[in-house]
Formats: sequence, structure tokens, C-alpha cells
Amino acid sequence: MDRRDFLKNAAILGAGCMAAAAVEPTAAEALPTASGIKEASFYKKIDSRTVQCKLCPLEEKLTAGSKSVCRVRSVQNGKLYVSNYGKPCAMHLDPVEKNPLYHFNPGMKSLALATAGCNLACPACQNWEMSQKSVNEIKSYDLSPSKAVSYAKKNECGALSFTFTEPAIFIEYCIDASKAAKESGLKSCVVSGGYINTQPLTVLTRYVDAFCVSLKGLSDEQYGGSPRPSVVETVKNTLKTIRQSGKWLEVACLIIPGKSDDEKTISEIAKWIKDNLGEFTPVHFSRFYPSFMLRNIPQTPVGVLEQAQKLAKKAGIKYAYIGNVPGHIGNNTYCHSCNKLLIQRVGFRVLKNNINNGKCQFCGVKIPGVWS
Amino acid sequence: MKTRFMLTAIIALMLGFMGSFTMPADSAAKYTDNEIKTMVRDIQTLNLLNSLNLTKDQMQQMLSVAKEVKKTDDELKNLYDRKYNEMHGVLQEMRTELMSKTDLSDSLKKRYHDAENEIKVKQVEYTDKQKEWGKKMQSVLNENQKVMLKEYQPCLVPVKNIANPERIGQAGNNERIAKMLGKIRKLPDDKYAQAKQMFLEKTKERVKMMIPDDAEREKAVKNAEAAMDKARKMSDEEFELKKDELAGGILPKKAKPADVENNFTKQFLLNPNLASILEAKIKSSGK
Ligand SMILES: [Zn+2]
Repeated sequence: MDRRDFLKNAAILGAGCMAAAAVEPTAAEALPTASGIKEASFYKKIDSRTVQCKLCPLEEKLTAGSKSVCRVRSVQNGKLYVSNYGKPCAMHLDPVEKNPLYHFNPGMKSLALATAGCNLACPACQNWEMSQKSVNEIKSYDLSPSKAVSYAKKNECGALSFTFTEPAIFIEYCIDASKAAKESGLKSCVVSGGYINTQPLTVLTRYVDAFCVSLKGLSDEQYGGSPRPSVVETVKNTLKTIRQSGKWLEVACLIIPGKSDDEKTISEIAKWIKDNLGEFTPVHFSRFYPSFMLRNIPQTPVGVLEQAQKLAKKAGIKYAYIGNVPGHIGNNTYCHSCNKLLIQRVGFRVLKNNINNGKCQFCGVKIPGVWS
Repeated sequence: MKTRFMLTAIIALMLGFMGSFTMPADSAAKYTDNEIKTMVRDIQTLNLLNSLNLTKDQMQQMLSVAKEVKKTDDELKNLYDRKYNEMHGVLQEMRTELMSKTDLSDSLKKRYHDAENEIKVKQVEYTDKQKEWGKKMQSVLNENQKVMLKEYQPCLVPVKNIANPERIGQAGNNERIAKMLGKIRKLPDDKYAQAKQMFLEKTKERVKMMIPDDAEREKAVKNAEAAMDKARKMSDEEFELKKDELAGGILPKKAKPADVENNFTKQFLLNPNLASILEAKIKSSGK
């Protein structure tokens, strides 16, 4: 959001916002939330003009008129504001499998939400038309946290999913909507690139029930795009923090031909996941489709994904899946103990579920996941 | 003027999408109707195979059955050639005989029936073999591929949208119709009434070819009307959430054949051209 956009939104808010701006950050909850403007939750005042965002490792120092990399944060009267609060640009009714979350209430319908903006610029982004835009550049809807919950309930959803772009950059909305969801008996899921500082992430884990975090490689080069400080270390830290929080975690690895499809990289990723997150962390090897800055690269051959799945299993990962290949047998869940079919998935639909009370119906072994 | 243009554009786009593919009636056409049908069947077979993501091993197993299908099919075609020639000759003799007599000689009748019977016997044998081959082909498929075979929507244009991979192999997706619905929401009432009428007329024609049952046809048209009306009454947020579902309600669903698994197995996996298709696929998969 540039200064002109901010002023336009601020003018809509009128005197209320200006008056609130004089209050200390602890009053952030009480600030007006119309038109997506809300005081950011994670920042530090440097001086009367400058603030430092503490959301992600970019830790940008911003003054009035400067733009944040994520496109949704700006400064007014020495305070940091977000422009995407309650302003999703995408709203879908999707099964949680689409996130992907395969060990979290199979078949549960969720209200999937995303706002404009992202703090990364992954060259392979499938949703770059939303993630690389500001709120004012694309159509957004007015959907307060309570309205989101009411839509979810009306449409028989069991959860809210924050996905498609980067929930970290709409963390204020994400936290409030997750709180509202919990109060109404709904769950919430976050699908993230994992580029977030520990403190905001720790707060987020208090309210969110399940995470799917994308691990694109083990070197910063594999993240490509605009340089960001210590991407891989941050994502690794995010994964470990979520694991320690006790909330459900699955990992998605996008396999891009010529970039992340070599056996060494895949084996190393699998080994890191096993050593740091545990052998029962579900891992999804997703097929790449030409997109955004990588339109010249062909889609990942299915054979490469099948090989990735084999390598992960060889490295000790018990639940390795193939993603973005509708109907592939690699989408099914097979018991890690007796190898019988537990969950059959075609597309994002669950056709069979042989898990009873969290256990394999055939051999009785406990299956890792959240099943009710 | 602008509204009129927009209305025409919307109708054209919607009708274009719903429009059916018809062959011009041209007796001097280079290719026969059968040749075109064969080509369509091959393309639909390819789209099915591509969506099944067969392994090389699966393709090899299918190839051995497909070769048998091809061999037997060729033999049957040769038999048809020979026997139809024979029958044509006999029929000519019958015609000549009936010019001067009121009955046919026993030998002519026998020759005709013998040729006809030979074809019938081979056809029955072929049908029995098809059942056997069909079972073999299905046994090569895994549990997910069997579901995909049953749910296949025969198409010429392969699926493009991975965001909605639930409808396996389906060429069209709801996105375009959803976009049109978005535009229809903005039309003034009178223009909408006009657009709706035109659209429903075309839908009625379209379902005639797709749905054999009268009541089901009527239901499909009513569903389309209800979806359009509903789209206009929704809030922006509600429409955003429900647009795919609404668009799905607008598109009439082609009635699936009974016993779809065996029917599609016969139609696509026992396509006599499958062997050459698989050979090409195996070759390209090795690259
Ligand atoms: Zn078991």
C-alpha cells in the first residue's frame, strides 16, 4: 500500500483512526477495523517517525510513506498499520486435503481465506496474482473474523484455512479469526511459507490447530527470487517451533525440475525432517506447474515425484505423499505398520477411511494425526 | 450501446461454451464419419491414459493385452471384408434370380446364411474375448485408477486447471461459467431476462443430445435457471464462495452409460488403436 492508498483508507476511517493513533499499542484491539486498516501487532517504535516491523526476519525499518516488502504494512503517526485486516481477496469452500493436510480431520470442509501480499517472492508461486499485489490492486471482500466464522458455519465447514498467499502477513486477521473460530467450536489451519519470527509464530500457534509449512529446499538459492535474509534457517526454525508447540504439522516440498528434483536434495530434506520433526511428520512432494517467473520450466514428471516418495520412505519418513497429481495412488494413506490402505483419496475427496478412533482398523496401531 | 454489446458478448461466450460440435453434411468430405469418430475415440483414450498416470510397467502389461485386441480386431475386419464381399455377390445373384423367379434356390439361401453365421459366431467370440480382456485391463489398474476410469468425462481438450482436479480428465471447468455468472449479476433486470431466455433456449437444445430422460432434461434446465437467479441475489461474499457450485449447476451433466466401468473399459482400454498409442507413450516416457 503506498502513501496515497493509505491516506485514502485513513480518510474513510476518519477521525476515529487518528484519535486511536495517539493511544499506546496495547490498545490495538480497540482500533477501528473498517477497510482493512488495523494497527499491526508485532513491531517496535524506534523513534517518533520510525518503526521496526518484528513480524519476519526482514525486520524492516519503516517511516511514513515507505512501503513494506509484504505490501500490506505502512506507517502513520509513528505507528505500524496493516491494510489487509478482514479483507480476503480469495474465499473458497475447500476440503482440508487441499491445503494439503492429510492427517487432520480427513474430508473436513474448510473456509479457505487469503489476503493480498506476501513477504517472500518465490519464483514458482502459483498464486502470484494475489501474493505479489497490495490490497488496493486486487478485489478484496469485507469479511470480519466473526463474519468468516458465520460463513464457515453456514456452509458446514469444520475449520477456517488461511492459505494461498502468506498467512504470516495477515497474522492479525488470522489470530482474531482463529480465536473466533475456537469460540464457535471450529478449528483453524495455516498454510505458510514459514518466513516468520519466533515470537509472532509462538503467538499464532496458541490459536491455530494445524499447520502445513512449505520447505522448498535446504539452501537459500533454492528459494530464488528477491534475496531475503536466512530464509532456510527461518523456515527450519518455524518447523521446529510448530513441532514443539504440539500443534499438528505437515510439510510440503515443491519439486521443481532442475532446481529441487535431484535425489541428493530430496534425501537431505527427508533426513532433516526425520531428524528434526520426527519420522511421523507427513511430507507432501508436490508437482510443479509452470507459473510466475518459472514459466519456462516444464511440469514435474510424475516419475520424479514417485522417486521422491521412495527416497523419503527410505530415509525413514513414514507418511510421504505425492501432491498435485490428482488421483495418483501416492495420495493415499497406508498404515506404517501393516501397510493396508487407510485413506483413499481421489482429487481432494476422501473415498475410504479405515481409521477408527485414531487407530488402524486392521492392525490397531495408532496413526499419527488429528482424527476428530 | 455499451450494455447491448456486453449482453451480446456474455451470451456469445456462454453459448459458445455450451455449443455443440456438429459435422457439416458434405457427401464429398475427405474423411468419413467413421474416421472422425475413430480419431475422437483415440484422443479421448489418450486423455484418459494421461489422467491415469500409468507407470511404464502398467503400460507394458496393458500393451500385451492391447496387442491381442488389435490382432483379433484385424482378423475380424478381414473376415468382414471377405464375408461382405461374398454376401454382396450372393445378394446380387439373389436379385437376378428374383427378377425371373418367385423363390430363391436353396444353395443361394445356404451360401448367404453360412456367410452371415460365420460373422455372427466370430462376433460372439469377440464379445466373450472382450470381457476377458476387460478384466485383464482392469486388473492392471490400482484402486485409484479404477475410480478415475469410472469418473472419466470423455473429452477432447485435456484438463487445464489443477486447482480443481476433482473432475478427472474433464476438459471444461466451471471457472469460465463462474466468470460469466459474475457478469450476469451486474446486468440490469430487463437485459438479464433477455440473456436468461436465450441461454435457457440453448440449454434446452443442448440437453436433448445429452440427457435421454424427459424429466431429467427438464430438471437440468430448471437447475440452470435457478442457479442464474440465485447468483443475482447473493452478496459479493456469498457469490465468491458459491460461484463454483452455482456454475456446476448450470452445466448439464451428460448422462453416463450404465455399467460405466465396463463400458469405458471397452470404449477406451479395448480401443483397437490402444497398442500403437501405448507404444508411443512407452517410447516417450523413456525420454
Ligand atoms: Zn495397520
